[in-house]
Amino acid sequence: MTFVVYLFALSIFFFALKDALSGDPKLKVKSEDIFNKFTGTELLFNKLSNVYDEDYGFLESSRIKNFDSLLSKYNPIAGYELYFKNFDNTAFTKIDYCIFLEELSGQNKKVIRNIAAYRNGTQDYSIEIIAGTKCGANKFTQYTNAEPKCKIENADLLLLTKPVLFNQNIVNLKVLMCAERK
Amino acid sequence: MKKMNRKAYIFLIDAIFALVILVIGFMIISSKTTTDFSDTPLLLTTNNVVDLLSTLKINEMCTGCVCSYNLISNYCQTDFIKNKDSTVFDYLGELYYRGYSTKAALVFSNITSDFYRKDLFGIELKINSAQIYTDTGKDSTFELISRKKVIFGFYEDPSTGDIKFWGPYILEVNVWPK
Repeated sequence: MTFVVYLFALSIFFFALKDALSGDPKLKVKSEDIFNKFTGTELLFNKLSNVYDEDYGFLESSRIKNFDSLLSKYNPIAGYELYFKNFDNTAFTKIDYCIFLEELSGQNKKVIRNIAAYRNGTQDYSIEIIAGTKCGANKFTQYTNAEPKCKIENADLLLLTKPVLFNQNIVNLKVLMCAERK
Repeated sequence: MKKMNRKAYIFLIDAIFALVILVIGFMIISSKTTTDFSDTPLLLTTNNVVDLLSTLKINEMCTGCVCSYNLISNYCQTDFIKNKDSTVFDYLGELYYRGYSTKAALVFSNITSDFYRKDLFGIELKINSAQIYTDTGKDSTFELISRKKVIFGFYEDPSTGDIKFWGPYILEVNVWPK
């Protein structure tokens, strides 16, 4: 009798093992860096939605507001302090950020608006660039086919996207991070 | 005494045998590598669709009946939009209530088609378990993310002046990789 029970237990064990190993696993474990990209996207866009500054708050849930008035007063160092400082990563010596609005469709998706943000004292930006605040005018980012790209070597690049409403149209709000590793 | 010794040997062999089986089992399980997880874009796509359409109002895309989507302009001019102060999801619910499920599918596909890649992802929209819109490939997918929202609303019937309340309905968006 004991032997029969024993055989029964063994058969259950092997049956469960066979099921667990057969085919593609349904539940997949995500790698840490990909998971960070997801949570990073959520956190960043939540942060941008919660900038309680009269001049610098431009994202309300899924709507862009006051972006043109922001551009007239914008300073990239203040932008960095308000939007990105909390995401600072000590693994990098320099991080440039580019916030831009891009058309959803079209062959060469047009960049409609863009602003840069960076840390104070990490770059030798000229006065004109600070006044102009365009991404792509500085050392790290440039435009290729109308889209800002990270141009330095040995850089980590992350591009986060969220569709938003801007001037009655749905456009993509994108944040490009271009970071130089230590 | 001899009988007891023999029993002890049997139990010992039994325990060793069980241990060997368990060790082999755990070795097989731990050697099985997990495949790369590819659904981060899937999660983001799902969230993007649901976040935008549940907050964006019809009147934010239009000035009068001139809208950023020709289809919406057309529906506005032909009185298929009764309450322009509703979100896109609420508008889909209104169309479903009024029996215009095909029109709801057209609105959904028109608005969403540009912000997810149709070659990479498939999307399905259901209202109250009724399929309103779907892309191909759902049956063969192993990964699927589902988001549900409760929608309800009202509109005024201009012919009678009555306020019609509709819902609550469960709106479901399913997204899968192709």
